[in-house]
Amino acid sequence: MRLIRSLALLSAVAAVTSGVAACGSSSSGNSSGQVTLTVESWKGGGSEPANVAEVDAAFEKAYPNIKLSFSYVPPNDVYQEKLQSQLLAGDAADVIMVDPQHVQSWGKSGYLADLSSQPWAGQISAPLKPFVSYQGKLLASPMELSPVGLYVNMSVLAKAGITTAPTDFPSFLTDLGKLKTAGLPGYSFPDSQGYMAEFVMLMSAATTVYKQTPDWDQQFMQGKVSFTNSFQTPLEQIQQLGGYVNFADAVGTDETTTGEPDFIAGKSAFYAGGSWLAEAIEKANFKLAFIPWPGGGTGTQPSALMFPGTMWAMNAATSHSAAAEDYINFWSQSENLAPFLSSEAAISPFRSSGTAGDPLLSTMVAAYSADRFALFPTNSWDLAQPETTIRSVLQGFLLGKTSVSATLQAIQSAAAPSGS
Amino acid sequence: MFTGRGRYAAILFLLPAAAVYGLFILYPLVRGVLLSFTDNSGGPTSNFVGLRQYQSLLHDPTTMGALWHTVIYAVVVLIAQTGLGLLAASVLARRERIRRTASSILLLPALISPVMASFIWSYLYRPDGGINTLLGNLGLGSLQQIWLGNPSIALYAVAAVNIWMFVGYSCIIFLAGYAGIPRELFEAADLDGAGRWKRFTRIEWPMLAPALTVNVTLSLIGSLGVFDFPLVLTNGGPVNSTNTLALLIYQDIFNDSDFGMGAATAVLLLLLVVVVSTGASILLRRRERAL
Repeated sequence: MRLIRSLALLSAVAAVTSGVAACGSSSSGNSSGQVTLTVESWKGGGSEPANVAEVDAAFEKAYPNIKLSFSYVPPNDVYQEKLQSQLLAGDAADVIMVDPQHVQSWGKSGYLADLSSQPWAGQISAPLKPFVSYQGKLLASPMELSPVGLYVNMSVLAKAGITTAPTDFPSFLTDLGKLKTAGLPGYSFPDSQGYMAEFVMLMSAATTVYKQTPDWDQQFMQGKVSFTNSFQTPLEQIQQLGGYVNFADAVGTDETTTGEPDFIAGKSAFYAGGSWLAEAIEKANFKLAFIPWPGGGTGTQPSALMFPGTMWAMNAATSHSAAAEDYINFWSQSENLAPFLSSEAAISPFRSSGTAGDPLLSTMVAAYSADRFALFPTNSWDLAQPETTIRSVLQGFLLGKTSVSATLQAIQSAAAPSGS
Repeated sequence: MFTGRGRYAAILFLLPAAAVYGLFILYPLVRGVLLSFTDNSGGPTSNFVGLRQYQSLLHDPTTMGALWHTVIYAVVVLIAQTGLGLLAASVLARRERIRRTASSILLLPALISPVMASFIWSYLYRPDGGINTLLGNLGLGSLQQIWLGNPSIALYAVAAVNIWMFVGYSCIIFLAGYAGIPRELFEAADLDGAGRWKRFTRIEWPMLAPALTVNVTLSLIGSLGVFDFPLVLTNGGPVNSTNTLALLIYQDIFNDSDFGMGAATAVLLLLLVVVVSTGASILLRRRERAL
């Protein structure tokens, strides 16, 4: 029965595809000029209030003729399932929250309006533009850049006589060696869900690949570069961590339910993750640092990896495009965006804006300001299906089932664009 | 059976149910199958691609691996869950004083949601978790494992959670079967001096045939469509060793927005469930009649 119900769900979607008439988005207006603008988002409720309510209240104050009808939808599958159906039925909100993958898939389906002419469009950080665009059209306004890096328990490091967080790979290995010798907790590398090794590979690549070739992703999609030629160092660095991490244990340990709580409890000195974990980790009772992956050679400065996170997009079927544009424009202004960035421990995606003031992010902000950063390739080769395969391939690598070259060959096969 | 006005009346009475069944079961099913012949990605347009999705499925090692894991998982769950349920029922059937309490305790895990059960077991299974600690304390350190990190045993570790959750159900169904066995048969067996094993093989096993059919059918349908346990415990890893067909459908639709491929995989799973569970049911019903 469960299977039949699954097919029923799929078919319901298909039935709508086959021609249910769109009835426009669900906002409304009245003769007094008051407009009700509907907004759907996976931030602003549940466990992620993210100061969305504060920003929205400021918007309603600034635009008294626009009343917001905000709907929180739980993230990931629930959001995808609900919005996908609503968009098909022409019943989605006027403004919807999206991520880079939505920009690609919903942009392809024609659900998102072109925002290329908006005043904030020229302010978007240049490397971010491909993530908010589909076939040359700007379809979303970015809200944040979330650094992905290494959380460091400085209190544990201090016990081993280490006073500063590592900035390059040799010093990182030296620190791990000192911790091991002192019998102190080392590097937590949980990879049961498969994304930790992917994070580390990409964090290392920010310095060892993208620093030299910032447009590596574009070149890869054009078949000009390959993993087998470019990504040896990131995998060799993972391999070298094997001297300090039990990878068999790692693959059997869950990132979220075990790795993160263990780090907060002081059971490890290093833990890799995104800035979205900062709020929880900062509650830990030790001195904390958050640094880019120290992937370079001796004496070099590392590049940070940034995750292009949430974005606002306008439903192409909206009947209140002017109000929707006002709303998105309001969010793009630095003073309005600041409460959200502060809550998210994220960096502004707009060049003209200031950056987050959280001291924990200072190293990341410094890297961003100096153009030492790369973006998580969520809009090119590291999309859904290749990503699942890449994670599996990397688990095999951790378990010693494949060599560096064989692993890179498998990643190349999984990530290469079809037809190449 | 019906003639004249009676036939029309019967059709009239059947119509509402038939209409609801057709609208909510048959129509979506047919549309789902039709969807599998397209390249639909969740958008308003899609192209007819014939059997391309199915050809891709059959040539995709990940899908074939998931099919194999699904079958292995179902076999392990079927044998262990049914066997343990039968064992528990045979013990409890003769101990009236503890039967109700013990069967309630056995049923308790089934009251937890599969997601929560998976979280609980993810803690128990962690390398320094409860199971390895217990084994160490019992002097069985050599049996300690990376339960969810070893591709050779992860699937069985996931199956163990499924068995733990639903063995109580199997036990209850067998206990209902035991309740239907006439006491006179046991009394006659006692008078004839039949031992425990002979009583089981000559009386209980044949008389429990209907309960076995129900257990096997339910267990097969549930385990062939398993999704929650591998999703939460391993997300299909390590190295795809716990990937199942239902998990692949989820990944196709929610990760990849590949509705066409998801529908094709769902049709494959539907065929698997229908063929296996119908085959098992026919064989077991035939056995029931023969006994």
